[in-house]
Formats: sequence, C-alpha cells, structure tokens
Amino acid sequence: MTADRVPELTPLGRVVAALTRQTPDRVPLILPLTLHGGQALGISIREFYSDPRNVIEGQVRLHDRYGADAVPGSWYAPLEHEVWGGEVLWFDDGPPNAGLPIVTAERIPLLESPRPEDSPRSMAMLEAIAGLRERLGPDVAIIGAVVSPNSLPIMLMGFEPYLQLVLDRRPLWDRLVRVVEEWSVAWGNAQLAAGASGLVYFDPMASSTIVPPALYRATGKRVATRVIARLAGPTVTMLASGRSIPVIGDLAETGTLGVGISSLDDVDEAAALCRGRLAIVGALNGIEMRHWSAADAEAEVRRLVRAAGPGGLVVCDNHGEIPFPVTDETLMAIADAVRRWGRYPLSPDV
Amino acid sequence: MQNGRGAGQDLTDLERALLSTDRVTAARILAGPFASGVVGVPGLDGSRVPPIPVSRVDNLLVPALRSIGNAWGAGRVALSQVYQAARAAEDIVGAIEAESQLRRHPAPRIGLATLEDHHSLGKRIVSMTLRAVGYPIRDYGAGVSVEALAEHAAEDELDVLLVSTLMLRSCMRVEALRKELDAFARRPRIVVGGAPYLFDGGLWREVGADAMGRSAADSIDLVAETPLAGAAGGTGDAADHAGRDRRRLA
Repeated sequence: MTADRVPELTPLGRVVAALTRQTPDRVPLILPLTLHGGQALGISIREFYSDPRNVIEGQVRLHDRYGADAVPGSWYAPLEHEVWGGEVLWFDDGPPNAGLPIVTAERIPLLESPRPEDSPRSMAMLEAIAGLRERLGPDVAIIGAVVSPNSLPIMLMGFEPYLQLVLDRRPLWDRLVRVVEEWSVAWGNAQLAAGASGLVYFDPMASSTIVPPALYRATGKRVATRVIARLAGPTVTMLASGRSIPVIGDLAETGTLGVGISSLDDVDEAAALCRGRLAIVGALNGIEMRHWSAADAEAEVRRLVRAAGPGGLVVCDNHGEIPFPVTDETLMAIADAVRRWGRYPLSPDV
Repeated sequence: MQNGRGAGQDLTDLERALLSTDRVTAARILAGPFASGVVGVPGLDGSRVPPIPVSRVDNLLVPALRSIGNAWGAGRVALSQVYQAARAAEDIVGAIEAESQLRRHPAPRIGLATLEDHHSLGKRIVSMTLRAVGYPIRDYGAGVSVEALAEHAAEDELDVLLVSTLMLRSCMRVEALRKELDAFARRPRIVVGGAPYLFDGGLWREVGADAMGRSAADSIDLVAETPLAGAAGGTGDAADHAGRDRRRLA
C-alpha cells in the first residue's frame, strides 16, 4: 500500500507544520545566507548591509535562486552589540565581527537597555524585514533573530569577564540579564511586528559545550523561559553549533519549538530525544560544506532526513549562518536533495 | 604510594577537585608529601611550601588537565569547567611557584595570540594551562593582525606560535601568517586551535599549520615536543616540521 502524498503547502506552511510536529508535504529548507547577499549583488558585505534596499534585493534573488522555504530577516551577529554601542569590524572575505567589549561589571548597576527605535541599524533591519515581506508576500517564512540575554553579554563584556560573572557573581549576573531581557523582548517583537514569521533564539550559553546542564538550568533556562513567553511569535533555539543532547529536555520546557543541533551531536540520539517535544533544525556542517561535492551534499541531506525526518525536521546549517566560501553548486545540491528526498511520506530508500 | 594513597586515586581526586574549583583540595593533592607539616592551604594563604618538583606536576597535574581536555572533546564536561579547572590550576601553581620557582629548563620560546578575532577565551585557557604546568608564555593578546603577529614571532625568536581563532575567516588567515613566517630563516612551529578546526578535521592542514590542538590540554604535549633552537635535530625548516608531524599523525 502506498501512503498518500501530503497536499502541497506554502513555504511558510511547510515550516510551521514541521516546527509544530505535524507532517508537511516535504521537509522544509532554510539557508541562512546572510553573507551571500552581497555576492548576489556584486558588492561587499559592508555595502550590502549599508542599505536595507540592498538586503531586500539580495535576499529576494537568493530566494529565487535556491527556493528555500525561509529567508533570513536577521543581519549579522554583532548587530545587537552595535545597537548597544559597540563597534563592528568589517571584512571583505568573511562575516563582521564584534569589536572590543563595552560593558564592565562595574557598569552593570547603571546599565539601561536600548530600544530598537534608538539605533539606525536596528531600524534599518526592521525596514528590510518589512520590505522583504512586501516583496515575498505572505507565503514565505521570514526568520528574525534575537541573541539570548544570557548570551549577548559574551559580546558586550567579553567571554571571560561574563563567565566569571555567571560563575562567581550571580546577583550581578541576574541584574545584567534582566536589563538585557528588556532589549531582547522589544527587539524580537519589533521584528515580528515588521513581518518576521518567527525568531531564532540564539543561545550558545545553553549548549553543554559551554556550560554544564545544571548551570544552564540555574541560569539561561530561566531566562529563556521568561523571554520566550513574552515574544509574540514562535521561536527556534540555536546553540551556535554547540552540543545539544544533554539539554534537549530543558530546551523543550522553555517554550521553544525547535532546537538547532550540532554536527557534533549524534543525530539519531537527538531525534529520539526530540520526538514529540521539539523539531530538529540543522545540522549540516557549514565548515565542511566548503568542500562538499554534489554527492556529499545529497548524502548529508539524506542522512538527516532518514534520522530526523519522521519527527519534525527543518534542514539548515548547524550554526545559523552559511560560511562565505560555500559555493553556489553546493547550495543548489543541498536544495535539490531536500526537494528529492524530503517529500512525505518519506521514501524507504532515503 | 604517597601518604597511603595510590597515584591513580590522587589523579582522580585532583581532576575532580579542579573541575569543582576546590582549590584547597587540589593544592593539597598536588603538594602531596611536600605539604607535610604545612598548616593551612599550601601556597594559597601565605603558608610556606617546600619546592615541588616538576615531576609532580608532570605526573599529576598534566594528566589531570589532559583528562579534562579529553572529556571536553568528548562532550562530557563543558568549556566553563575547563576554564575553571585551568584557572584553579594556574592559581595553585602560581602560588606554589613563588616558593619553588617552577620553571622548565630548557623550555621552548612560546608565543600565543588570538588572530584577527576578539574571541579570546580559548587563548586564555591555553595560557592558564601552560603556565600551570611551568611554561612561560608570551601572550600577544586578541585581535592581532597577521603582520603584527609575524613581527612578534621574529622579535622574540619563537620556537612555537600558538594561534587561537573562533571565526572561520580568522582560521583562513593562518594561511597568510604561514606565508609571512616562511620568510624567516627559522620559522616557528605553528599550532592552531579553535572551534572551526573541530568541525573540519583537515582545516589545520589546509591553512598551513603544523599541528592543531583539540583542547587546551593538547597544547602541553604539542609544546613539549617542539624542538628547541640549536638542539640536535632541531627545528630546521618547514619541511622538517611537516615531516615530523606526518610521522606523528600517521
């Protein structure tokens, strides 16, 4: 007996179905091509992000080319650092990087949260989201992002001073994250209001690669639970390629719909732990992807679909940003493989 | 047996004490028989500590840090615990060092930097780890350019240059660093570390490094095996490095 094919969904419907663990028509694909838009327009990354019209045009072209189910509404990782007053370091051959830290422990008692409307950079990104929604219409998912209040201070303070705060000065840490929370909630909700379909809750400090699960439960999990409850749209939690398996149960309790697993995680084990609780987002290895042949890309997609397709899967890279050197041929091969092998009911040959 | 305890038990207990940042217990274990008669925490509260031989660091602290590093690589402990363990080890040995002048002689000239990248926690952990086991380090900081790092390496006549990066772009910049260093009459050994190398096992070779460390503790062995300037069969040239590493990694 052949199972019936699921009726075709819109790209947004496909993403929503996968994240809510219903069966979509096929596994959705997200290609977070935040760095490739400049290439698409023949301009540098810095120039690309200097004007929201560039971002809209570049992302529409990338969407047309690869046919992914979602386009990134978020820009570059240190944008929030920039809004808080930090410097962004630009490079022609890679993603922008956060400059020197701007918050010291001594400043925390006096720290105030910025508002999205205070910075031309956050406003420009919101303008781009609104423009993308207008150009792409209601059927394509636009994915915004907020850095978790428990992770943003890595950029604001520097990793070691922040880690010392988490480990040794918990009351001051609590004061800091509560200030940052106000920003994160306002920033996430502003993106949703501008037209984002949902948000990545970017939280490397949740990963067991960075802190033990017990420390996450005492810190970042509480923060995530508070923040996600105040966001007016769905979230997926990404761990910046850190390991997820020891905290999958905890992540499910924060109210997030999906988890970005790592290519260091055993995908079968992660899928078993997520089943019925969380969708899996990931976990193509973006660093290795630079060297993949079309056959490699297809094999990796099939491996993911085989393991996680039955329980709710969105194919994506494992970091939330496809590296700059990944080629057009590889991206096309990934997109083709998802369309070929991701259709439900899944082929027994996958 | 030491103080009625097995060396294996000492190692297990030291690892546990470091992971839980119990400096008191860790210091007592490390001082071992040399702490007899000492009141208080050896070295940590101003008490006088007799010299502790490097062999005790090598036989206890190095294996403990190596084991913690391996546990991180396998996903059994977190980076915050590795950081805490290295910080505790550095504190303890730093305190003991005041009395014992723990120094390795001869030791390679070691340079360390985060290349064109401000993510400096990895560098910090490597620095604490190596200092804890008696290696002096020249730390050039974070966000250091290729050109500046090459200048430091030349001025300080380094034997080994440890390069930490988190961003893929910064990893790729090691290639340019290697070209700069190849112009030296005697190039320092380039050892790289950082997350992208863990996700692509061939990346360190691709960028022209001589070796990679999977964890901070790996730097102990990688530094220890670096030939010193003027030593028999010394560093020679790039081909010499590459040949040795091919043999080691085969």
